[in-house]
Amino acid sequence: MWATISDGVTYLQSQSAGSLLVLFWFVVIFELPRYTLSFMTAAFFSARGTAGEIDRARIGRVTVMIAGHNEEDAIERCVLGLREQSLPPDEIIVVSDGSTDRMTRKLGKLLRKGLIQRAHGTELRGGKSAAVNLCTRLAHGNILINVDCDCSFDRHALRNIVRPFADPAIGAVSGNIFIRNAQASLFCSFQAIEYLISISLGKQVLSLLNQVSCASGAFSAFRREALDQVGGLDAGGGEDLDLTLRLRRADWKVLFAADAVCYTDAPETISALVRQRFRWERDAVRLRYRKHGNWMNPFSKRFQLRELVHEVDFLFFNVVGGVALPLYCLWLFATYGDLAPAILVGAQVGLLVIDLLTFVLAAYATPKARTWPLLPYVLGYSIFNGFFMRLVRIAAYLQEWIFKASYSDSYVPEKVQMVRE
Amino acid sequence: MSYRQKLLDSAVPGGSDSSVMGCRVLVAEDSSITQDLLKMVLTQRGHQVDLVNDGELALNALLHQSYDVALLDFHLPGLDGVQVAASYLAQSTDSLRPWFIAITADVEGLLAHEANCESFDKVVPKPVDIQLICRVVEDAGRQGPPPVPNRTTTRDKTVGGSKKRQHGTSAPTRSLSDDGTFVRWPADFDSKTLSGRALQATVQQGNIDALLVEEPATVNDLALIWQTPSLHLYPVLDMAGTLGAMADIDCSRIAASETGALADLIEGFHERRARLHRDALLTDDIGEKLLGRMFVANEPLMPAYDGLVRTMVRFNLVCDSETVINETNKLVEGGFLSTSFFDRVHVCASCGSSQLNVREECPSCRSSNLREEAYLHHFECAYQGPESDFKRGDDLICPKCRKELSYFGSDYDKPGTMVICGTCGHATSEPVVGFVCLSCGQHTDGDAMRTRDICSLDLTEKAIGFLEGGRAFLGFAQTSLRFADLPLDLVVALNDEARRFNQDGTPFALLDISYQNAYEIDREHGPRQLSRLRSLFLENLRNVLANDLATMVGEAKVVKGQAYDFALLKRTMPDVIRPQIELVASKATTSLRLDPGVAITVFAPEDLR
Repeated sequence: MWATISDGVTYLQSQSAGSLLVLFWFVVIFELPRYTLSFMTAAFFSARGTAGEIDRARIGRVTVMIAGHNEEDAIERCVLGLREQSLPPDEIIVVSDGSTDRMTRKLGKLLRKGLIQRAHGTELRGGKSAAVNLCTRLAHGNILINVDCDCSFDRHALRNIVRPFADPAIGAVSGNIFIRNAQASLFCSFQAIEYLISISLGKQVLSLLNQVSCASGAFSAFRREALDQVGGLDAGGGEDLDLTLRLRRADWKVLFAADAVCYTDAPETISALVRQRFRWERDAVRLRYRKHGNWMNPFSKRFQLRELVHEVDFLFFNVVGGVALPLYCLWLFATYGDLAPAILVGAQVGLLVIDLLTFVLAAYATPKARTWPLLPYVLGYSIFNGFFMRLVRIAAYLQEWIFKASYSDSYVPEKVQMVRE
Repeated sequence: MSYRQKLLDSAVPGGSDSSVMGCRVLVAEDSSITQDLLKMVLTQRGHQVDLVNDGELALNALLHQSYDVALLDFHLPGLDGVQVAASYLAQSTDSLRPWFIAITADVEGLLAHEANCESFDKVVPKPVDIQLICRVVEDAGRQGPPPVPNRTTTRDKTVGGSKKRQHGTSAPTRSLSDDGTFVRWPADFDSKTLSGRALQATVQQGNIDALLVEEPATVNDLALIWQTPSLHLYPVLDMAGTLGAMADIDCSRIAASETGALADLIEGFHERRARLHRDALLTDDIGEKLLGRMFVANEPLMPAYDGLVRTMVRFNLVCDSETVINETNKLVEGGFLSTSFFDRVHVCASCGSSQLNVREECPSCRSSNLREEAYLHHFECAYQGPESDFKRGDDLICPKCRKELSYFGSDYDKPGTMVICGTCGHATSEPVVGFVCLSCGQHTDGDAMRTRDICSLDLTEKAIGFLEGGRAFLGFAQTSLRFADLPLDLVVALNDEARRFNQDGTPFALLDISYQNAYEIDREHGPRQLSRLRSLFLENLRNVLANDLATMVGEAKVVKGQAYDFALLKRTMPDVIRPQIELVASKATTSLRLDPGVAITVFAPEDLR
């Protein structure tokens, strides 16, 4: 064992730069640009620090919309958190989506206390999209903020998420999401690092490049006209991605507000995590290549160069990168035989260096997060993200491609699945 | 035929026979209650009734008027009933005689009477059975005049030369004649401002039986009851039937079988009124009047719903319920009344009325113009909103995707309903409750609404003690000590003294100090003033005991108690101090602005065992 590894190290040391490039083509193509380069950009450009007071007159009334199913326990804490905001919402609307617990009764209580302004409990579950649409129908605000019931918020989250709306071109602003239970399990820690890198840092970069393609369903703000123009949410899942894509199509700008921080719980067990990611990836594929597939077709009327960037980004780094990994491994073993494991380890060491670097960058770009306790986990994260999550992604794509599995997702009520696009 | 008529008819067989109506009846009776009773019932039934108090008047009346029936009490002042009948038969020149009916509790005495008791056609025992009397009178009326017994006068021959009496067809509603022992409404209340004094004079003579309400009346009409001393202590007989449960008896609905109850009622009031202390009898305080009224009526105050009054309840007495509620609240606080929950009503904060419209309202604009509307969920595009968003004529068109919804359950469903405000358009699933006062129009939110508990109320021991014993009962003239009433430090000191007394016979005296005027002072000047007065008195007492009686009193410990105060005089002979105590009390009182009416009882060690 040690002999093969030391052989490998000796082998790697003897390579020239050009041959190393050949050896690690996967890393060079799929890892380096995706992270390092863009993160450099972000670190360079990101204008840190708050932009001062917000212009309330230009922003108008702010409505928070919460749609939940059986959230009897979570709703009160969520509402109390919103009431603590430095910019308290003008209106909070809660729709209990066919809850079978006592959520609706709880809403009555909150209503009487004046903690929320409107509440409604439907008797049949209609799915998150329909519930949020009902909220939109009842809302009076100019800026509608969509919030998940199990989220809690940084004191300035609302102020910071509505601030960009002073610019009338902005149609939506995505909030930043931190993992609240980072210490709950090893996988939670990995996810905390993943969110930090891919959302806190990644979306800052995308925002700079005007390429935010998904305003997170957990915490995003929308301009009322924009939402009305595209008809609100379509039947789910992946409704947040779908809505953002449609807003972009309608020429609305979508931003990411790194300083509008919301905290949410990550799945603690590996099975829950895998299930969640299967759902996300399946929905992404369904939406990008089935529902909105023609947007990538240069001959379609709906084709836009601007949209092509994030479409290609997703296709290349997520789909192709995922599929290429097993091919790369096969190629390594076929070409180098016994040296392959050593090369893989070498690649992993290289990746670790990159990950550490990006982590530091992300931590630097996200001063609000308590990042340093996560540092030891970056080692494991490197493997988790580089191999495990890629495999999950490939499995999800295959499943969706072959079985159209997203069409039998319990996240969306059956009656909706039967008919949605 | 009126309901009342039916009742009366059903109570007496053959009552609807017109020939029985309109008898002329003479009642010779010295008991005013029986008089009133008979007169009222018989008058009610359409007979014409004359009342006389004694035998001579009865005979006189019989000789000068013609009657169908004479109801004669056996034991009458002057001539007794038997003598009246006998004398009439001897003296009368009339060919027709009335039926003579004896009323007596002493049937045997009647039968044993030396004069011919056979001149009576019937004997009705006392206590009077009204139903029997009615039957007897009406039977007599039906049969016509009785046969004239063995007479040898020429008048006999005229028998058959029938003298048809022309009786006025007196209506059943005809009121009682003017004399009698009722205070009448409205007759005696004519000028509401002036008659108060006249009434007062009548009432204070104490010879009335009841208040007779002869015409439809309201509580306000009868407010004078509470302004005339002790008028509230008489039963209210409702002839017109408009007072309902507020009157003590509704004579318009009384059945003949119930009339015994009327006599009991009046008698009960008389008896219980006689037990009232003068203080309670002549009080001006409305609260005390209520207590007195409850006592003589011998009934708790029972609330009942009444949509016509502001409080939405009325009580079983002729007093407006707002006053009752306010006054009884104070009385409950004072421990005079015990409560039993009846209901909770809402009260307008602005005018105090409970006549309110309760309604579901829009939480935004407080309009009650709400309607329910179903909302639709279009599955395909996830639009969810009120049905009206979708309605295009007969079709349902999704406002978002413009598709037609045609298949319920597959295209769309209705997950629930929403309440929409027709005034401001606000949609909610939780309409709120609001109140609008029907009296003043004030709007109040459901959660800000004041409530009031309505209770039935009964007299406590304390109240009965006051009513029978007067204010002195509340002023606590004690003749015996209850250790439970003593302050703790006094008990400790007493204990020590008692031990010393048992060991070597060292005497001591305990002064129990009560204040006869405590109640008045409390009422007029408030409890703080009373308390201060008591403290001042005790301070003075301390000085008097220490200075003036230094030779007789070893050491004085003066203690303020709950209702009474105490002074423990150590090493003091009770018998020596007893004669001095009046003087001590007056000395300690002289400097006080108000006289608390101090009464001091001296207890010796022997009294405390």
